Amino acid sequence: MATFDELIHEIKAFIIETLDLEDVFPEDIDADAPLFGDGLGLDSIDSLELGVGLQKRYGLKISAESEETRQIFSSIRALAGYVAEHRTI
Amino acid sequence: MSGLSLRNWTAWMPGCETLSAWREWACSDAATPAEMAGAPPPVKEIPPLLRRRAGTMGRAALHALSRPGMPYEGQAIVLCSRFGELQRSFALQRELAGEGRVSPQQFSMSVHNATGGLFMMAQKARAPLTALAAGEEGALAGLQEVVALLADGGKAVWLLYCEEPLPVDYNVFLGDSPRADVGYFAFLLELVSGDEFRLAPEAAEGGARAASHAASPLDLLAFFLRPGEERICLSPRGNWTLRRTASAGS
Repeated sequence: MATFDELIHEIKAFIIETLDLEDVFPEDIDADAPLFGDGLGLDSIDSLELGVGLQKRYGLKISAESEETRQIFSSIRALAGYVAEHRTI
Repeated sequence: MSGLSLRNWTAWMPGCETLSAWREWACSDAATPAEMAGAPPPVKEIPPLLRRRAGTMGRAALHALSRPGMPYEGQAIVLCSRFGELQRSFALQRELAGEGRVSPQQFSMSVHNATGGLFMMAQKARAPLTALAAGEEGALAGLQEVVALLADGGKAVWLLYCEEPLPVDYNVFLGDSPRADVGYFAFLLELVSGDEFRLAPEAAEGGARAASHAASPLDLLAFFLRPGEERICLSPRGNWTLRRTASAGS
């Protein structure tokens, strides 16, 4: 069973791969920084892409618009917490 | 109103990357520059969060739009491509038929004006951006759009032509179009109102040979780069012709 830190690293690598982030490495990403806007700088299309990717990779179904979704995507750490708790794959 | 001058140009395809290489090609007998395998241009001028979404043709286009010798100063842009990034669209269709889900990122980039949009976002520009797909008459349609924008008060227009190889499954639709086998390319013309060239439908000259095909975008570029060439027929229908006027080359 992977540790939570290992899951955080895995999620960082998953985001880099899914979103084709050039010249970005897992160690460049702050697990507590916002994913959208000022932090990693992702946009609304990225959130849709991540939604599809999370479904394929972890069997998660995340609704497009809800307060909970905003919370899940607020940082890598928040996303890793959600994945750990709800993954079906 | 249909007088044009070419103020600047740039072009790129794998293996033909310098302006002198393009001039050399234009003065040779080769229908297209010899393409060589090569990586797409890195386009470091475009921020990584934007350029990551561009495919190979998109990168060729962004590269042409970002050449150091042609600074962008808010010109209207006409992006002209017969097929656009059809490889991307075809992959999406396969994904939809197979898994039933498509990538939102790929879908967002599969519209015809997406690459131009990336450039405009990188420039934070609000100038008009037109994306055209005009079948075999793309060379003509692009120039007509430029003439219209200049007549509407534009000082200079950037006309970008770009293409990529079609997925092989589409070859059946090409018919006998010339130069359908061209690989990736992008070239950019900066056009202004002027008296070097005149675009107009010309009356068929008695007994003169009518062109059987519309000129392709690369034919058009070759015409611009060959000072001795007097005219190019851009469409057999209506005999639309771009003519080099007497003052050209002076």
